[in-house]
Amino acid sequence: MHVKAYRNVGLMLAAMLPLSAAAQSSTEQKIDGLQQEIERLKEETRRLRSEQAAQKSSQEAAARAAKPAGSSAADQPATSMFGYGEFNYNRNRDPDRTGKADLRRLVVGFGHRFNDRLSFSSELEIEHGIVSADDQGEAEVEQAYLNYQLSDAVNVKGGLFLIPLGILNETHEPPTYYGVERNDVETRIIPTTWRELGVGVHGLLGTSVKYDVGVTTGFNAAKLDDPAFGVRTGHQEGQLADAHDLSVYGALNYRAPGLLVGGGVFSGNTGQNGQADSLFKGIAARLTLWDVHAKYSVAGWDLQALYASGTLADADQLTAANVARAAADPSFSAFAFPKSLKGWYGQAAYHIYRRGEVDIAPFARIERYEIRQAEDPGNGLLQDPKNIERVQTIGVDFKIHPQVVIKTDFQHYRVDGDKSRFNVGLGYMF
Amino acid sequence: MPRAEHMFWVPIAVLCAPATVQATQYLTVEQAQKALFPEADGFAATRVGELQRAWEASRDGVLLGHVLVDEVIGKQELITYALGVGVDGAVRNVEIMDYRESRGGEVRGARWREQFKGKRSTSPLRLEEDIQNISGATLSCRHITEGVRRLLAVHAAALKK
Repeated sequence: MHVKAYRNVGLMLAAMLPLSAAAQSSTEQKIDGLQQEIERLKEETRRLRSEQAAQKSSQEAAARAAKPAGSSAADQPATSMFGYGEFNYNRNRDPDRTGKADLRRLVVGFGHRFNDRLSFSSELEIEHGIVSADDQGEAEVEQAYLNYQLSDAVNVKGGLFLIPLGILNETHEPPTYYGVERNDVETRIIPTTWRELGVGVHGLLGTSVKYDVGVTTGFNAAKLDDPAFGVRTGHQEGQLADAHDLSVYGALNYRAPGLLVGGGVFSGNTGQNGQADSLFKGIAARLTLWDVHAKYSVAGWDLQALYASGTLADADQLTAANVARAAADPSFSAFAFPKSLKGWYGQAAYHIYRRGEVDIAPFARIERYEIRQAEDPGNGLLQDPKNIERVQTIGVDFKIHPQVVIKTDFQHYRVDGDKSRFNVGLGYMF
Repeated sequence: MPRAEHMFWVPIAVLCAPATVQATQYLTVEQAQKALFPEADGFAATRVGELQRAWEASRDGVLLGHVLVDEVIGKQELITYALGVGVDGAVRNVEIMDYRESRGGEVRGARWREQFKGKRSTSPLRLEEDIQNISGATLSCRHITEGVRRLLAVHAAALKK
């Protein structure tokens, strides 16, 4: 079009020229000049056009290179996947120097977004590598819930989800905590990884305060079989959970850059109307667990502390039911039920080397926990002294990538020295 | 008690009513531009290196800086954010335009974002080093920090001719 336009301009100019005989030769010269000019303009236009086309295609190529397919929000697939896992080696300082290497856990997570407000999250976990009737491994659903976002301040969720107590329970990927093994307080007092079936409401008040409240399944006293782990073995994990008694929870956490301060409480009866064992019928056995925690990072230091406490009411009656159970079933060995739990830890880590993706941080942690049991001396059911323990852990976390960590530490158990151990672990998350 | 049971659905229906509004968008491009360069009177679409979503902010024809919009993944979902860079190459601020994860929304807080103010392409821009983490939102924090580092590198490379 431009070329044609130039040609027309040329012809018009030519037509306007005075055609007197005297001026004819100079007019012809002028026309020749104009024709040359027109040719030059045509050539220029052609060149500009091809340059423009080339520039456009290189721009498009650059855009494709900068933004690979599927990386814009609209193109993002609605289903996403993530995972984490850890491989651990433990060598105990017992007389036999027992050593164990374990694919502790491999977790695969799936998420799906139905629309802007409704989403699904899940984690499937395999513990100890192999799961079969003859093996010790476990395959479990760690969480699976639907979340509906009404606003930033109000989300409603339903399904199997993690209870917001402690620091570790909701954030438990190996690169996010120090030490090969999860700390004892958040294992024996707060039974991490702890999930329940139920409904919850959560949200952010402003951009710093997160609240969580909900109604869920609770513990089952009749299923509790190892008081060394507090109430942990009475958790139901969404497995045909006895739900005669429901529990409630609430948590509040304040988060700012480098700072977390929060706490939570969980309470509910654990008797479950004797659904699992009629000997437990009529015992309410209310469990209440609560915690406060803080985490602060400053000048290369990571400081963390937590206090957790709980009570299991009617523990005397639970121990008595246990005695009756043992009398009826000789294969069952009775134990004194836990009646109160408490524990705390303090931890400090310092980043001695940080360059690029590599991060080396030695750490030390002191812990103390007490699981007090409801004794029945007449039947020989006494407090296990090993359930009142102090633990010192010293080690180093070596991150070869922010999401891949090699850890090693030594743990000293002051009361039960056989638990003392040397640990090495490899963990990842993505 | 059939009536009481029906009443149960009323608050749920009320709560579901605003569901037609987009849930996750906090700022449009125009709002992010204004937040980053409140004094500007014009934003002209441009390119900064390979980055397509870039604007020149100007006032009375004088260039104030650039607004760059990009996306990074949080844990599972994309986070859309805008970076304001002054003509001196220093970060004005970061604005979170879209946040879709159900956890980690604390990164939208002003205190976290303000840590980027004044950062340059020569700054470390490493999480837990010069940018503090938010506990429980580590992946969102890390990926936004990496995104800002990348945008500043692109910005510096494109403007140094």
